[in-house]
Amino acid sequence: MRRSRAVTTLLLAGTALTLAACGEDKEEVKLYGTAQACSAELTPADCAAAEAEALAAHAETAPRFEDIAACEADFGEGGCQPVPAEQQQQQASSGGSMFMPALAGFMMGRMMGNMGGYQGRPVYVDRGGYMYSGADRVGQARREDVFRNGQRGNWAGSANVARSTVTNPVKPAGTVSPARRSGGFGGTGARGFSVGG
Amino acid sequence: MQRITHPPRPDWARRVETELGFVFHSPDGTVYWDETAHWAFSEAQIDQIEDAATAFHALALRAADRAVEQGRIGELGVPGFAVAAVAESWRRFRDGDMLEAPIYGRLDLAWTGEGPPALLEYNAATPTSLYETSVVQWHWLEDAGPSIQPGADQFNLLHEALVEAWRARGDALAGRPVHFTAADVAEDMATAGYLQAIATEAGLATKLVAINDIEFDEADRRFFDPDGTPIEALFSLYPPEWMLREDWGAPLIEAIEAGRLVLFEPLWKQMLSKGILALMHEIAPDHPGLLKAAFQPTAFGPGEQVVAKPMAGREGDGIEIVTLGPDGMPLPDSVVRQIGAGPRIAGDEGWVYQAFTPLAPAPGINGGPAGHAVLGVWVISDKAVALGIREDAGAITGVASRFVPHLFTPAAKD
Repeated sequence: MRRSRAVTTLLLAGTALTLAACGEDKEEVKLYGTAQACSAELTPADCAAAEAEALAAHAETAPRFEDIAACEADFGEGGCQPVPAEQQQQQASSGGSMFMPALAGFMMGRMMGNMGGYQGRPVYVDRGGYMYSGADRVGQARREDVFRNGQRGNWAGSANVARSTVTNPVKPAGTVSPARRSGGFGGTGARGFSVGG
Repeated sequence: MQRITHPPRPDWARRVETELGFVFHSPDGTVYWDETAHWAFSEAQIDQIEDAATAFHALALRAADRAVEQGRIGELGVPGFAVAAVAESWRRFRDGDMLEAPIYGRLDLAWTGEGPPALLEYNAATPTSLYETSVVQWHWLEDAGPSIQPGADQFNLLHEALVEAWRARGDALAGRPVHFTAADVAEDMATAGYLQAIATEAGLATKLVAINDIEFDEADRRFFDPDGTPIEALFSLYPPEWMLREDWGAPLIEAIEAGRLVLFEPLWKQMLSKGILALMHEIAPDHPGLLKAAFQPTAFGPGEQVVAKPMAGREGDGIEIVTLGPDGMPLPDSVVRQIGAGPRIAGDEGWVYQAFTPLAPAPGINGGPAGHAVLGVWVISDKAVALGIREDAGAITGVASRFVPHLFTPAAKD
């Protein structure tokens, strides 16, 4: 006999796969540089509300860096801004000014349990042009399209992100190590299907 | 061996989804899992396949040994900065380090049932169709087998052998958790999740993380998952040769060399690219079923039918079947490529050329005769343990090739 498996192992495998499949649940989100760019597709009221929400989350939760050089190492020249004074006082540990990435825009999607409304989240762009919301990479754009003359560009786009991660808040300040980044693996041949042999 | 058609189980799609979590049976609406047919073997034929695959695996290891001894690792598509680490990984394996021992691979064989099975290639680092082979076709045999052919068996010890392979690494891992990673697509993450479940069954601590979500800490030169847990052992279904060529290729090698990271498959498996076929042919030109292979097309003569393969190609990407003309160059009208071939992403890492061999016939487009079947034989540790069959309507097996189950008739006992 060449097959001798017990059914229990099969069930274990099935369980694990079902869970993995749930994690694959994707939701399309829209990305906009400004509320103006958003208003070309959605109502100005929804756009303004989502942008305001993203701005508030940005001030509260953007990754913090001890100095501008550390921030620009991740987010590129001109891609950083000082942490607002009121938050600086709460958070500065070394006494110096703290920096955080500049808001590149916001993303919005219809969230679970938020029937009919949109929810805005901050979007950042690293020096490689990868767009992030919190720890999730949500797309890629040319940096010059995103930041023009130090201002946010009037760009728009869309991305698919896992539903579970969209509903997560941006990582709270202080938990992101300035030296720790994702995105250095996985860039080859992203064709949307299996990459094995 | 014989291809036999029959009706599929009436509710097979729902069954495999709900009972097995097999969600990628029909990507984009095209059939991938195909149970309207099966391949039937005799036990003697299965023995022949098993012996051939185990022997090809041993020969591939001899060829890897030759590459290390003769300083030819770079010829196999391994980038220069990784060559020393690949050689060191090989030496540790040869010295008995369990963490450098091979876990799994899939040898693709061409066979019509006549003569010796021929080796097409060795997918030694990130073989696909693991779950389909191990679980889905086994479920099919248990479920539908009795009405199709009572008493039939299947060459399929894949699950048990993988559990055993992970269990054998338990002591060497000494409690270190193993992260499993893959490209963030349903098929690959599900397969990585299955492998994770196997390692869990073998008693190891495990975690699943998408390849894009792996983080690298510049300061302490380690990799982390998004929860902030350091990655100390990583099983990657995402092609490691791609990782080597991405932003963190050098830090990956650095972490492995410094002992901060254990990689599965071990680094030396980078040598078992399609290029190993040329070295295998060098050391054993008369091995049964081993097709002529070389790094240069000039090794072949006018009139010969040759298959050009990008060293790191995947899923048929870039493969061309050509007939050489009087000047030794391909005859323009003779070139056969994959059906619907897209832009090629492989090829820069070098090519290997192999003599063409006929494959078992399977239905082509619209029931036509041009299709073929390839036998994928799984080798766990050092032994062939299972068979999975892929069919394609064209001449080259690709990502869309159908998976068709198999069975065999046990030999009568005296």
